[in-house]
Amino acid sequence: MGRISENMYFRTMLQGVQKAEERLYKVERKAQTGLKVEKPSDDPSAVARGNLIKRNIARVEAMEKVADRASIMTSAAESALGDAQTIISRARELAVAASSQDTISPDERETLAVEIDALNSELLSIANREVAGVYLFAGFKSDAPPYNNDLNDVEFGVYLGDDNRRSVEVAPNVEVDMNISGNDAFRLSDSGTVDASDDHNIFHVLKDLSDDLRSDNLSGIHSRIDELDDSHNLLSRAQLEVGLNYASLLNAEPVRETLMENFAEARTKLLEADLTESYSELMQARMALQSAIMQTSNILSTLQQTTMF
Amino acid sequence: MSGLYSSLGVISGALMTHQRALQVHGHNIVNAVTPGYHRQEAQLEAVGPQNYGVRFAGVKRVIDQQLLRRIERQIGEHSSAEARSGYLRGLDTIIGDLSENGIAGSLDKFFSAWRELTASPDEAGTRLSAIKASEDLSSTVRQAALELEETRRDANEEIILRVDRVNALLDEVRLFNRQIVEIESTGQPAMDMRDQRDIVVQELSDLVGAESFEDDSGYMTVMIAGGIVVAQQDTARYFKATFDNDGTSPTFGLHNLSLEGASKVPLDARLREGKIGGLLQIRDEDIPGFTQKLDEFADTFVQEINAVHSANFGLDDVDGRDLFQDTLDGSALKAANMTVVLDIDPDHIAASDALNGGAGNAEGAKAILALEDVETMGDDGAGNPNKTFAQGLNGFYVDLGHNTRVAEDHKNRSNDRLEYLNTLSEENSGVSIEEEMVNLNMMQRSYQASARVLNVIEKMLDSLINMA
Repeated sequence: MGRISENMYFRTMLQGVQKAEERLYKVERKAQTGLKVEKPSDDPSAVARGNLIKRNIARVEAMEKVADRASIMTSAAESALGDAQTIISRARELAVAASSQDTISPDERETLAVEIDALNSELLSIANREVAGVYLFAGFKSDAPPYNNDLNDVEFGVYLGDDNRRSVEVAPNVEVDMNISGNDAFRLSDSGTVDASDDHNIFHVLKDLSDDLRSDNLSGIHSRIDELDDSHNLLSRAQLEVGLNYASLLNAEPVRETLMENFAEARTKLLEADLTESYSELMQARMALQSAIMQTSNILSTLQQTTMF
Repeated sequence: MSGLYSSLGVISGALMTHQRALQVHGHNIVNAVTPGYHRQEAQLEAVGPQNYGVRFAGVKRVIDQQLLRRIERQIGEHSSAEARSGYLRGLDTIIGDLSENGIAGSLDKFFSAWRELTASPDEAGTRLSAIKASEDLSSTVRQAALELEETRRDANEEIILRVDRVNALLDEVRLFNRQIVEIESTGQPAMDMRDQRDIVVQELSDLVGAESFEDDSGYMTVMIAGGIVVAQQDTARYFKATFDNDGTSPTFGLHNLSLEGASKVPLDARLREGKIGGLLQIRDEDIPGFTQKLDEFADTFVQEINAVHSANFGLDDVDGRDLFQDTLDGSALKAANMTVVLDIDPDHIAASDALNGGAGNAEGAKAILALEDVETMGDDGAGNPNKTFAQGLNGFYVDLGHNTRVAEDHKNRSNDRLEYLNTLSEENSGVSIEEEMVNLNMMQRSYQASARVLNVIEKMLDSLINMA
């Protein structure tokens, strides 16, 4: 180092303070936002990886919403199918009572028939059950009641939905059905024709039972009891299936949680500032600025003294 | 007697010499912090060999011409990097937003909305969210594209504003050249004027990156862009910014920079030093590069999403509808024009893959969602796309971050070099007040000593006269 000019003193002082200020600004920003990569230039190579992690997080978060939605649908279907079984059990009790008594007055039979009709209506309202306007047992045709519920209509109990399952992804590559169709839950036999009104379903069994009661058709009532047993089995199988779907939904939850933890950890490592590290950086930067300011004031007072001679 | 009288001559010469030297050191002290000032040295020499005494031989400007030229060049490089990094940092912060509100975040939200649709296509709220997410994404992309365009115009505007200053400086160089040569032809030194001319050239370098040299007669020649002469003797070639109204030109609607003269020299692609050079680089290279990437993303995204969307059915069982507005003439869509179709209604969201598919049919939504992982962008060299939308978008972010980083590093490095050169120059040519004070004292003491000699001679003459 040769001569030291007047300008050099001031330039050095200014630079020292400016650099220390710049450094403090940077670490303060980092400590405030908690981010070490806030914009692409902070680490261009980390951006692609960071975006990938964020995308995965967004994906799993959306899957969670999908799963919540599926859970609501599935648990509603499960309890509906439970309710349906209770109704079938009650109908079976009534049918058995009607068939086992030798003497039963026409009035009593009529009363029983009326009760069966009421149960049928109730069962139909279960099959037409909706959650926030979405019909549970309609397949894809979820915006309209899947069954005609007019007992006096020839089309009574005809299925208007379709056989589609609504499958959703609730964890990466884990697809779960969030519904079963009305046919899956309530149809006893497939007529094999395109016309769904020819199919035989649980509502038809109850309708037939009520007709048999009114016409005092004892053998018919016996056949209906067998059909009610089949119906109960059908409903309980359907409930089991829905229950299994619900279980799959529950199982997906910890999978998502683990993924989220991993992604969050990766994000933290890649993009977020280490708290202890940024605190110590902050302290260092503050001290550096203080010392730069102190040096400046020292130099200034020394310069004042030297020019006094 | 004659010896004594000649001694008187020696002393009066010495007194005058020391006075002049005092003036020089005083001049140094008062100009210690004057920008561009180079310290001056009083040149004293012994009168000899036949005679005695000291003589003021002149004033020397302490300057390292080579170093000064290096500083000039470094200023041009530094200012260019500084201007570029200033603009890029702004873009990096605004459109490089890596939060969920940025483009990548909006893209994630778009696909998240479609993912939710796979579970509840029969809910108006979810359909509305899909529209909202599509609108958010297009508005974020559009804003980024507009920000790029606006920044490009700002850079252009700044170039035009600075051109006048460049021309004024060129004029000053020309005038200084004339004055310096005129003054020096009378035998007077024009040192301070040279300092001022150096400052002018440095400011020129700050704006357009100048290189200069002084010829033997004292004229300064200034060149830009690797050797184009813009000032020589008492002539100058002026800069001109002309509005570009050629619709096919990449700088259409902006200004073209050129040098006036017998043959016009276009500068847009040539000038990269100085602030204006940096601005030209931002305007004609950096921003068009980013815009191209963003346009490619917007166009591919809109085409691909529309193709799937229009093949599927809305809640009203109508197909053939686009989700995003395409260009009317079939040309590539620009990011700045990305928008959701005007009359969009939640029922129009094509979540179903079949006519009368039912409100719960989400197969169309799944098809849109599947596009998230399909390679639709880029080119693997064999003409096949090799990047997903997100990967294509990453290219935009990486370019932005990389260019900003490079410009920033370049700025810091050139700043360090400039500081180093300035320090060298200050060491050599800067004024040290301590040194000047010492010199001042030295001259004062010499003056006092000479006065003392005068005193002795006076006494000797006195005794000689009293003897008589």
